[in-house]
Amino acid sequence: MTKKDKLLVLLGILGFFLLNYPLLQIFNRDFFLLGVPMLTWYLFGIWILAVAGLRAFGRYLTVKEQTVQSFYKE
Amino acid sequence: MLSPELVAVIAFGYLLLLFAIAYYGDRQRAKGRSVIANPYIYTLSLAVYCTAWTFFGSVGKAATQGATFLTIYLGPTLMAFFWWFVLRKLLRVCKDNNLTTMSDFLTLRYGKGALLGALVTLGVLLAVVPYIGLQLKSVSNTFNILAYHEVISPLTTPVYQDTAFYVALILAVFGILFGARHLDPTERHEGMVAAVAFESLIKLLAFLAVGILVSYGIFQGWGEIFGGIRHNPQFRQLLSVNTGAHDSYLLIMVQTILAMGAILFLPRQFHMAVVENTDEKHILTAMWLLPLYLLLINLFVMPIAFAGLLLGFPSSEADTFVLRIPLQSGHPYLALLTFIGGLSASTAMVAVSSIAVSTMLLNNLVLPLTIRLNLQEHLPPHLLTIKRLGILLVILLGFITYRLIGPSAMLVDMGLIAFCGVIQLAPAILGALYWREATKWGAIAGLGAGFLLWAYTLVLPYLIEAGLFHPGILEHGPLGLAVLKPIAFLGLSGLDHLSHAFFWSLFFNIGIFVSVSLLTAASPLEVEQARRFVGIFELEEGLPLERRYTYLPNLDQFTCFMEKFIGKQKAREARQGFLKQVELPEKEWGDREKLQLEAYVERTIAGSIGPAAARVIMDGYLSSLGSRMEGVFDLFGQVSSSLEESQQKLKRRVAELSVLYEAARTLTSTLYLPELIEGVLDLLVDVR
Repeated sequence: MTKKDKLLVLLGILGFFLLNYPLLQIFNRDFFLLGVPMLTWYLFGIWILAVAGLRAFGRYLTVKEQTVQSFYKE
Repeated sequence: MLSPELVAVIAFGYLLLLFAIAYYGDRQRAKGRSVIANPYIYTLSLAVYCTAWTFFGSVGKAATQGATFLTIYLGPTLMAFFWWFVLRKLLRVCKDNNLTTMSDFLTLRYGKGALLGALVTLGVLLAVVPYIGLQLKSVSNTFNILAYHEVISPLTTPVYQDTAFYVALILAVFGILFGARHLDPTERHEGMVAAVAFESLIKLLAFLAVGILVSYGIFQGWGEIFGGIRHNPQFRQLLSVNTGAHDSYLLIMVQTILAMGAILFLPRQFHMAVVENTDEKHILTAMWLLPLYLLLINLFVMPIAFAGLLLGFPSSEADTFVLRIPLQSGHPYLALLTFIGGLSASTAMVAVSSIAVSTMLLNNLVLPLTIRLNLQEHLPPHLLTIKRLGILLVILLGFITYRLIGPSAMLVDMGLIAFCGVIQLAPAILGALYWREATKWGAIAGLGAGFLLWAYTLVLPYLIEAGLFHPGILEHGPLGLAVLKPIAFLGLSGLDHLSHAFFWSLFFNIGIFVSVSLLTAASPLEVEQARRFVGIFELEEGLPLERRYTYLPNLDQFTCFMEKFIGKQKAREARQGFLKQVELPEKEWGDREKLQLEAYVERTIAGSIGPAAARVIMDGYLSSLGSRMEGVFDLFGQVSSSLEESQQKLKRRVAELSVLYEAARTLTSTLYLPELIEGVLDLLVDVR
C-alpha cells in the first residue's frame, strides 16, 4: 500500500461524512431543482461522483498491478 | 388476464432456464473453460446483495419513510473504497488456506478450536434464517397477487395450502442441485454463480422496465411525480429526512454502517466475494461497477413509490407497488416480468445463503460433534448427504419462522436485523486481519456478548410482539427489572430500536473483544496464525524447517485418505496440483516437501470439512499410522519455532555455532596435541 493508495481510503471516509449529519443537513431543505428535491439530487450526485472516483482509482491500480507484475517477471 | 397456471408454468420454466445455465457453467468448468472468470460476472454475482427486500421492500420503505432506504445501498458504495485493502487481504488469506466460510476463517485464525466456529455459526444462523423467511414470503405473496389478486395470510391457511411451503421446497431442491451435487474441496460452484449473475441482470432490467413505464408511460416524468408529492401535505415529509425517529440522522448513520458491514460479512456476500472469486484483480472492476449497479436499481425506487401513492394505493400495500402498478394500468405481462425479477432476487439469495450457511453448519457444528462422539470413522460416506440436509434444514427453518412470526410486522425489518446480527462479526474479522494481539478468548467473549445483546435488544422485542413471550418483559423488564428492559437497556431510552441495539451490541462486543484480548495470552499456534494472517502480503516462502515427521504416509496413501472426504476425482486433481506445486518427483522429496504435503492435504480436506475438524482428523490419521511430529536440530529448532525470540539470542546462537565450527576445524588441522589444545584455548579466549 503506497502513499497514493491511501488516498482511496481517505475518499471513502470523506464519502461517509458527506452522506451523514451534519453535512447532510445542508441539503436537507425545501428546495427543488427541475421539480426534483435538492436532497435527491445531492444523494445521487455523491453516488455518481463515488462511482467515477472508484473507476478512476480502479484503472490506476490496474495499471499499477500490471507494472508490478511485469517487473517481477523480468 | 393471467391465470395461476400460466404464472406457475412461467415461473417454473424460468427456474429450469436458470438450472440450464448453472449446468452449462459447471460443464464448462469441468472442461477448464471457466465462464465466470471475468470481472463483470463477478460484479453481477455480488449483486446477490439485492434481494426481494430491495426489489419490493425498497419501494415500501420509500413510500413510508422517504429517502432513508438509500443508505442500504450507499453503505456498500462507501465500503467499495476499502475493498482493495480489506477484501483483497481477506481473499488472499482464504485462498492461501482454502477457507470456505467466515466461521472457518475465524476458527483458523484463533487457534483451530471448535467453540468459536460453533458460536459464529449459531449467531449467523439466527440472523439469516428469518431473512430467508422474508424471501419465501415475498415469492408467495407476489405469486398470489399476480394469480389471485390477493395476499393470503399464513394464519388462515394450512401448511399444505400455503404457496410459501411449495416455494420453500422448490428452492431447497434448487439449492441442492446448485450447491451440493458433488463435494468440492474449494466449495466453488461456478454454475450457480453464472445463474446468479444472470438473475442479477434480469432483476435490474425488470425493475428498470417498471420504472420507465411509471415515470414516462403513466406520468410525464419525475417532475410531475415529485411535484404531486410536494403539493400533497400528507406525503410532503417523504421528500426530506430527519422528520421523526423513523428517518433521523442517527438512523441514517446506523443503517449506513450496517450496510457497509453487510456487503462484506453477510454469508452470501462472503461466499460470492471471497469463495467464488477467481482473480483478486476483479475487485478493481467490481469496486466501481457494483456501486453503479446499485445506483441503477435504486434510480426509480422513489418515483415508483410516489407514483403508487399518487395513484391512490394505500401505503400499507407499498411493498407490492412494483407489481400492482403495472397490473392495474393494464400491463399484465410487465407485471409478470416484475414477478420474474422478484423471483430472481429471492432465489439467488436463498440458494447462495443456504449453501453458505449449510457449509458452516457442517464444518462447525456437525463435524466437531461427530469428532467429540468419536464417530468420524463413519462420517466420510455421508458428507454429501449431510450437506444436502443442511440446505433443506436452513430453508425449512426459514419457512417455519415465516409461519411463526410472518403475520407480525417483523419480516419487513428482518433484513436490517440480519445486518445488525452479522456486523457482530466485524470486530473479530478485522482483528484477525489487522491486530496481532487479538486472542481466541477475546474473540469468543466479544462475539458472545455481541450476539447475546443483539438477540436481546433487537430480536426479542419482535418475538414478544409476535406473542411468543410475555409482553410484560417489554414494558417492565424481565422479572420487573426496569433496568434490563430490552428496548431501553440500562435505562438508555429515546433511541429507535435499531440504533439502540446497534449501540449496545457493538459497544459490548468491541469493548470485551479488545479488553479480553489484552488480558489473555495467545497460544503459540495463535501467534503463528496471527503472523500469517496479518502479514499475509509480506509472507515469503522458505521459512526455516522447524519440524519433521518420524514417518509420513506417501502420496498414494494420502490420496486414498483424501478420497474419503472429497471423492476420487477431486483427490486425483489435488494430487496433481501438489505435484505441480513442488516440481520434484516423489523419490527426491526431503523433509520440507513431506511437511508441505501434510499441510497441503490438511488444507484440501479443510475445504470440505473446515479447519478445526481437518486438524483433528489429520492428527488422528497420522497417529494411527504411528507418525508423530518431532523437532529438527535442537540448537536452531527452538530459535526458529518461536519467532518471539529476540534477534540477540539468535546472534548468540550463531556465535556459539561458529565457535564450535572453528574448534572443529582446529581439531582436524593438526595431530600435534599441544598445538591443538593451544588453538582451542585461543579460540575460547577470543570469544570471551
